[in-house]
Amino acid sequence: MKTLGLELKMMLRGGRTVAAAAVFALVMVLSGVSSYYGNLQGDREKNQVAHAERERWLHQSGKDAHQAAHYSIYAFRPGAPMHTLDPGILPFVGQAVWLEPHWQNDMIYRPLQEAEPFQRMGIADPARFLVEFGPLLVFLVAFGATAADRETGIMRLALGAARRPAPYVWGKWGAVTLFSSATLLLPSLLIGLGALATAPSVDGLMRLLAWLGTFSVYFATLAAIGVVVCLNARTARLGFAVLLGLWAVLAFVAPRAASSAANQITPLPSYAEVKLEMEREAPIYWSAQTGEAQTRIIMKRYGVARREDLPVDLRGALIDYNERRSHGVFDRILGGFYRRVAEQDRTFAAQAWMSPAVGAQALSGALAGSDFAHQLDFITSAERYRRNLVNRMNGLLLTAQSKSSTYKVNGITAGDDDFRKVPEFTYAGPSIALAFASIGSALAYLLVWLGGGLALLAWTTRRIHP
Amino acid sequence: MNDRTILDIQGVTKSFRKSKAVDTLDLRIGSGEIYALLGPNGAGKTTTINMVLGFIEPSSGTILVDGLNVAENPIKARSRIAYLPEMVALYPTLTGIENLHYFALLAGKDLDEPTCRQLLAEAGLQTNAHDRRAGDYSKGMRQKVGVAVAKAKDASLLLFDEPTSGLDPSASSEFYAMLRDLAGKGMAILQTTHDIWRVHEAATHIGILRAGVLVEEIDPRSTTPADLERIYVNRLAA
Repeated sequence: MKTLGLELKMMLRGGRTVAAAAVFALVMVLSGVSSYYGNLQGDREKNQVAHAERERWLHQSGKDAHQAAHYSIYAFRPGAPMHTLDPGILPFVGQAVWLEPHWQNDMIYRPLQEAEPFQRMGIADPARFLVEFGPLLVFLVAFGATAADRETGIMRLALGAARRPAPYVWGKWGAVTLFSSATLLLPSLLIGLGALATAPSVDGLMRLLAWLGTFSVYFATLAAIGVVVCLNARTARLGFAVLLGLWAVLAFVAPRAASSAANQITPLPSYAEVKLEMEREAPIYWSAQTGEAQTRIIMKRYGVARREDLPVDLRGALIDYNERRSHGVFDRILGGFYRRVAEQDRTFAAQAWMSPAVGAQALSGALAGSDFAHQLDFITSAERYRRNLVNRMNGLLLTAQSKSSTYKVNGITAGDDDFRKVPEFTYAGPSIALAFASIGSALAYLLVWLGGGLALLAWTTRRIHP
Repeated sequence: MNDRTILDIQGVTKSFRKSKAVDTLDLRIGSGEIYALLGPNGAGKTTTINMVLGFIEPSSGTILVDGLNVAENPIKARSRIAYLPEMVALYPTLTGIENLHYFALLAGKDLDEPTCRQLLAEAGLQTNAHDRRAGDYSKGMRQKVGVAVAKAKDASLLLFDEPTSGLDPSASSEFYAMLRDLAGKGMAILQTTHDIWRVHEAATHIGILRAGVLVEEIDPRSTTPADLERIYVNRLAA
């Protein structure tokens, strides 16, 4: 592998290659730093508001338990260190959810609403820059390392001297891979470690290493493609044109085609229809007629013939009945919608056969914990907390001493002690296992792409001639 | 002919579409022999070298290098060959030493720095040029690095494609002295050239190639340079 060292020396001495690498590294640093401070500020604000929210909940003063549940609280999705490297869908989806009775609310406060111009341009996202523009650097480096060899006659001397062409070809590939990966991933490693230092965890470190490994495989694949194209193209100009075309197809066309294919294979229902269906099946308000019917169900449940004989407060029982009934509706309709979105993401990941960029994009978001599967994990956790909170408040209504057999507010049924008994909302996030479970196919395809690239290199070593 | 045949070209023909670049070529070179292939541009000299190297396949016929069939074992056969192209191109950002080290590594030789310096010096490259980047080298200096690369491979067959083209008389003279030295060490050498006068001094065998056909083989010891030139001109005019 001493040829590798000399190849790297050539790259480091090549002014154009170093200049291009410096520009790419600078953009990576800028986007990483911008993302890092954006996340840091976002997390600080979320922590402050979450703390204020908790204080507001604790000191809301005694009131009707159901009103207290409506007084409720926001749950914020905490940031994770890896969100700095790949914010994924997070800028486009909410960061907080209002937890209240009767309804599973949508998440609100999208970071993109208050992003700085650089972030709104999209290149503030290091992962996106790596997926879309990383191939350009890899191809430029591959071109610089190999394309001139044929036209200058160096390839003739090299292959004439070589006992086997393999060290020549593999040396080029190794150097292009190492140089490109170091240029693009060293800034990522430093930014990632910096972000991790704010919230150190083994899972975070594993995610960072797996993320860097994913992009190393991505760049190694692209390096193989770049070297194969340059070594086989009859002229450097032809090789350059082919590489530019491949960049456009692999980094821009294929991911969009994969997205369209995922939408065709796993279409999503209209979200407006989903909400209408939820409102139809679990209405927030019910008619007198429905109320009567539900009262009869409750009386039957408690085995009494008259309302006055109910051992619980009727209003509390009705609210509790409807609340618990809505859970099933939400799980079925909204949960079904969410499961469909997650399935569409998996379908997208399975289109990684179209381009390694699709695989890298899917894996990056999943490993960073910024894909929909991780968002759904938070939504599920927040919803579980909401149900516990509301059920607990409803439980106070049911067992209120001043229970009533008519539907009416019975004064103060919840106080400070009751509020304190509701634990604070915390969210740790799932382990890295969720990432691999949701996009295993993307990993498999990315490795197949690498295998294919290496097979093409091996084929090139057999047929290469000046 | 030497007892040990290193290069054996048997009835080789190479056709490109309807034209024959090389036509039924038979040629043998033994250990310690220098075979000079003369011929005008387009006579098939470089095509012959490309076929020996396995860069292109003959349309028919067989090429054996040290007994190895090039068509069947191109990589093994190439491991016995050192090659110096007409225009030696080096990596311009590497020094002479580093270029030699790189190409020697490809040849399977991991040379240390003193050995690299020795090889470059033997090839005639001035010591003060060893650590300069090859981007500043003249053609003659690049040629010397190429010779050092060929020597480093320690091959049994050396192929030189118009090696003195563009060299000044002094460099050309140095080159042929080195060629004789290599042949003296038992290497078989095939070179293509237009330089009739130098060839007469150095070669042990001379072949004239015209339109892909080996039209004459000459023993330089039995002719004068002037006779050789006359034969060559007549053969081309025929």
